[in-house]
Amino acid sequence: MNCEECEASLIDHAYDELAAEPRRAVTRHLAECAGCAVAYCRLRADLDGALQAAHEAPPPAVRQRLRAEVERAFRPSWWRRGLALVRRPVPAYAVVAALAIPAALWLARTSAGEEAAGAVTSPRVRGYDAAAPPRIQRPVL
Amino acid sequence: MPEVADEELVVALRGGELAAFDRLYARYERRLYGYIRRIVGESAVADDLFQDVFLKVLRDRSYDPARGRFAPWLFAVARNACLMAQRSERSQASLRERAEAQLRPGAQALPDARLGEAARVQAAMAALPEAQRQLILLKQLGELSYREIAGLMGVAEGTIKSRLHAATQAFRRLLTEGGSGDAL
Repeated sequence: MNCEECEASLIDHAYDELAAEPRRAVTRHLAECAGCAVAYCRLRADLDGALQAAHEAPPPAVRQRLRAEVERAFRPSWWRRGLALVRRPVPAYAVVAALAIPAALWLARTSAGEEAAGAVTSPRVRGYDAAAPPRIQRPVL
Repeated sequence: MPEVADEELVVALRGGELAAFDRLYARYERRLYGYIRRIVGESAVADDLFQDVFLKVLRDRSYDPARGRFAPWLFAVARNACLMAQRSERSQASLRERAEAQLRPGAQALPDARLGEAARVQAAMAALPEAQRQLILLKQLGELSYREIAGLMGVAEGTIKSRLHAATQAFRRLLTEGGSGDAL
């Protein structure tokens, strides 16, 4: 590629619109030719300047108004939010499962222990005291 | 964290994820507002147009994220909105004059050399013919390809390429002349 061909491709190169092969040829030429490299740098500087000068942020109030409108338009209904909660990926349930499983095991063990204790001594026998007077004292005669 | 494509964010927002809007907004606020502001000039009009365009693009279900990029769609809607706003003005010439007056370097005090350079670039952009300014803004701010601009304007890709070349050269010429202070 000579300087004339390179110059004709510089704008397309700066706009990233060259196909792979011409882009490689321009890049090679720019690496070898100081004159074209300077011309390319100046072009890029002008275009970057145009870009920077054109960027402008809207006032914050515009963002707030727009955000409120978007919320009104796109906030999902209560039943959709509930559905999304149920459809959460598995890792979200891992914490719940990690807490629920030991709690369930502990409950199961506790109730099983109570049942076993109940099988050995019935409540009626447990409350019996041989030294205590009988609850109902009736005269013999 | 991997960059999520604009189109995926649109889908997420339509599914009710409001955080997707925040990300889209952060990506486009300066580019879109800058584009509208450079076309219509007046900030009050630009504020309203910016809000309308953003909302319209997000609400409009005729845009299918699976079939095309978001940026060309956004800037196509913005361009149409700007054209309609310009048409509704009584005189396009007076609108342009006001925009240029606002963006002219002498219009406000610029404390340092960097701001002076920015004002010089803005003045060169403002001095470009409307069609050429549109092309450069769509290419630079919209980051659209020749093909996308051609589709948006309804002309051949080669036409856009040659027009954009001419616009870029005209912009650089104005920039150089503006630097010497006698062109604007």
